[in-house]
Amino acid sequence: MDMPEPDLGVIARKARIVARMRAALPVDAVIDAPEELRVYECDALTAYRCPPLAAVLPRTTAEVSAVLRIACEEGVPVVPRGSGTSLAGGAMPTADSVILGVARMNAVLETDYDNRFIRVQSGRTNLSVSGAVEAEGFFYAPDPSSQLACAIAGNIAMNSGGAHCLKYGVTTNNLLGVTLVKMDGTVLTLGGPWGEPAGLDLLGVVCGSEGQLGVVTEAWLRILPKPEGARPVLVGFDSNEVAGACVSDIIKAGILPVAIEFMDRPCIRATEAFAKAGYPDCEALLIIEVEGSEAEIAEQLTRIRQIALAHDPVEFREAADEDQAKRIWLGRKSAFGAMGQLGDYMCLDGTIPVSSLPHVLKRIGEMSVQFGLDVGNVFHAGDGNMHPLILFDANKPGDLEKCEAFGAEILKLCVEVGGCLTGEHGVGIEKRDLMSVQFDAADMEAQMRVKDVFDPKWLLNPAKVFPLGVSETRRAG
Amino acid sequence: MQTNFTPEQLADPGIARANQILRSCVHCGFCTATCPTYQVLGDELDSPRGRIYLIKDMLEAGRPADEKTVKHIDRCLSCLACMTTCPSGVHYMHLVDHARAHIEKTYRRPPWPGRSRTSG
Amino acid sequence: MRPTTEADLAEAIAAATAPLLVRGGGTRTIGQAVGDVLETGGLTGVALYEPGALTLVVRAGTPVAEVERVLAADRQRLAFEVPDLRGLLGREGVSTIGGVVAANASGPRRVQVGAARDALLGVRFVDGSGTVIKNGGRVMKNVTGYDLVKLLAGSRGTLGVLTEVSFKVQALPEAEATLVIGGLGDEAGLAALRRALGSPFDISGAARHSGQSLIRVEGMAGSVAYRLDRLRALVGGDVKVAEAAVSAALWRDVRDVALFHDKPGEVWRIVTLSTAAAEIAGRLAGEALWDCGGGLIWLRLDHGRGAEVAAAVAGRGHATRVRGDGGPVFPPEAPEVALLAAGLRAKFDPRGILNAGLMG
Repeated sequence: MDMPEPDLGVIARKARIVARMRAALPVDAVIDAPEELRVYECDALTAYRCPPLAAVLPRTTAEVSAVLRIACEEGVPVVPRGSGTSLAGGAMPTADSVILGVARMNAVLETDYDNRFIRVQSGRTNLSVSGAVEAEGFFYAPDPSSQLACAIAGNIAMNSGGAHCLKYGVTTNNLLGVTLVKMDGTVLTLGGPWGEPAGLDLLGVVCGSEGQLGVVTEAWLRILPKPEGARPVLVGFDSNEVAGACVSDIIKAGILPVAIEFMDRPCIRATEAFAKAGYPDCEALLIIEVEGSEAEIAEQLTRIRQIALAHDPVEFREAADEDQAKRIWLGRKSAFGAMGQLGDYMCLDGTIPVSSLPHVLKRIGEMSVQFGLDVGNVFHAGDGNMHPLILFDANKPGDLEKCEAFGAEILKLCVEVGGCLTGEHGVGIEKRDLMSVQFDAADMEAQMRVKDVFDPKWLLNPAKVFPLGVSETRRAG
Repeated sequence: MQTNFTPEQLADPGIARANQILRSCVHCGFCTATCPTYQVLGDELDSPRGRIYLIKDMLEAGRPADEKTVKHIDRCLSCLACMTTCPSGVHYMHLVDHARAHIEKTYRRPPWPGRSRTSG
Repeated sequence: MRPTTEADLAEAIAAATAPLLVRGGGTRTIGQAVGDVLETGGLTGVALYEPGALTLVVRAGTPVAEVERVLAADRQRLAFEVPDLRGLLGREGVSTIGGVVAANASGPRRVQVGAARDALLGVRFVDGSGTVIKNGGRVMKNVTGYDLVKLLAGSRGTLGVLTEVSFKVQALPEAEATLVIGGLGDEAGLAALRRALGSPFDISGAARHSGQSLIRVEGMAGSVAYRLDRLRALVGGDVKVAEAAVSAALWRDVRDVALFHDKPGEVWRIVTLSTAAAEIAGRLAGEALWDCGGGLIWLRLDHGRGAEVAAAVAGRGHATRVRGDGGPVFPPEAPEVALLAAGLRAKFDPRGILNAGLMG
């Protein structure tokens, strides 16, 4: 992975920069010892690593503002970090950058059940937002697979999705407002608990901007009343095509399951070996979850059963109780861990039109043979967001490069069939150089103009999202 | 996660076992969410993922433990909440035990100020 | 000017030497812009419709009625319920889908599914220098690059002229019904809406006007019946049920603000918190229609009360004057936010020719 040459001037001024930050922050908030910085050299994409110049862990918006003002004056790039769970290298530092971690900013600031919102500091984890309102019967809808650990800050940066966004939408549909600190230290409010913007939807473009426009320190999030109940069914098929057709028919019938998850045979086998959830050994497996009261669940499942049975499944399994429901989800939830047992993996995230599913899966199978690397597919089928997991051996020279090349071919295929490079993980470092597959120069220029306005010196989260050649003149300026 | 041990290092069964455990960690960070010290301190060095990093560094380099590494590993309560959370089945307990043995072997702890006061 | 292709539109903008007044059908334009009229109504047609993927790609000048007809043929719809504001604003003409996006329009279902922006998957547009730009796409989950889709929604032609828009569409529900609650004052009537919205019964409309609170549920027939029962017990008051076409007519009126058709005065659209909504309307003593559980107030007042409206809403939301003359139309932005907005306009429309000054 190409990275820009670090600014040696900045590195030479490390002592002064650290001293200025120490003077502005509490004593334990600045980390500069090389052995203590190693942990911040990457996020959950471990293939690419680089220790930062320093790391700061502020506790308030005012401290974030102080850090950014100093960094801006000193010309030091800043890499915002939530919980470091990005699979795209969204929080990977450069050697001349300061990591700004918001993990210590995890307080709940306000809950309002009448107006159905919560205001939190952005370092709070996704699941603990739901946890804070659960007792009153509410939840926060976006549920990325890493929801136990990932921070709201990172969710906003990447516009995170999850398994249940078929019904509830992704982060941008559930984000009401933020407190944002610009690179120059200016603190501003975008949106608010009432939701709709008054002028331009600046909040809409900040969400998903991968921490390149500002650092979100607080957020107003929409909370929803929890449904009365939920239940999954498991349907096994002996072909990917038929499973894909079944998904399409369910959607067309006007049933809106909260989730439709898809696993292919390699993934089913790995998962069975690891988690022993009792899945059938078949070509494709769907997990479909519906919500509501007992009667409403039954009404939806009757309809889903009719549609599924018309496609001649090898298995149709309803969960009779909570325990069986857990077992149906167990395999899906263990899928990443299970694949991890087989070796190192790279998790892709392209989205495709649902109708292209069989074609894309077939091509991925062919490419797997061609590249000599195994791949398992597990994904959100209702919205076409795929997660091919390519297995490789990080300790074997050349394997990572082969895996990268395979991944790039899969993502190009996603774009070719009318989809996109990334559905919910973000571009980060990982897909930066593929942006020109999806966008032409004018498209990227338009996006970079937004960055020009928010961060004219291009110091925030450097070397991400845009191909280095495309952003070169701006980064130099 | 990639590791960098030499074949000579891997000949040591202890290191070989540690290598196996380190290789199974995918660095997903789920463990941070259930680690009590990380909840309080908010520095990834005081989380299982951070400690695994420190241990990996220390073992790969084959160097004696240093003060900072010892501080963060000492803070681990060994509650092992991380192990039930880990989706990849990383055997943290074995790894941290191995690290503690390495620390005992290679690190000279400074005298405990409290103790010297009461005994003096 | 009324170009019929994206290339012609781009050329027209590049060649423009004077400000342009950009509009679709001009049925929901608010605010003052001057210039040569540039209409998008010539860019029509459905580019792609895949009912099984809930995806529609359509050129920006396509009439909303045409879009709705195409979707209805496959028992689908735009989830955000496009309001027809011609009656309220006293306009003629054909509403275009691009105009809907440029205004980020929404109807009563905003309380459940959001506004146009929330259903919008992709855009193509021409910026102020005549460059064609695309963003987003046709798939439901897409975080590739910055989200200019959201930025363009609601930008009212000031950042670029839309040429094509893609939506996530929704299946028509099997049934709908509305609880009509009488006998409650405004404060209690809005509280009833909040109780319903805080329940697990998936409300798709929560409005109040003319002394009645309305709560809508949609879905499978059995589910609608079940939820009506549970809600009836929850909200109290004097409750009647309106079903099917009767229910639909009630919500069409809310959507189009029919209450204020043919009545004089200014009309304000106030976005606020439900818990502040009764007090704000009461203080200003106008005629009110509350939508979105009270989070949206349509307020009819005598002319010239802008300052009072701003003071009543301050710190609790924002107010836009959608009808009436004199004074600002859009609410003022905080200086640091206004600076960013101005910066973006200068980048996307460096000559300042697209609906210049419309939004401030």
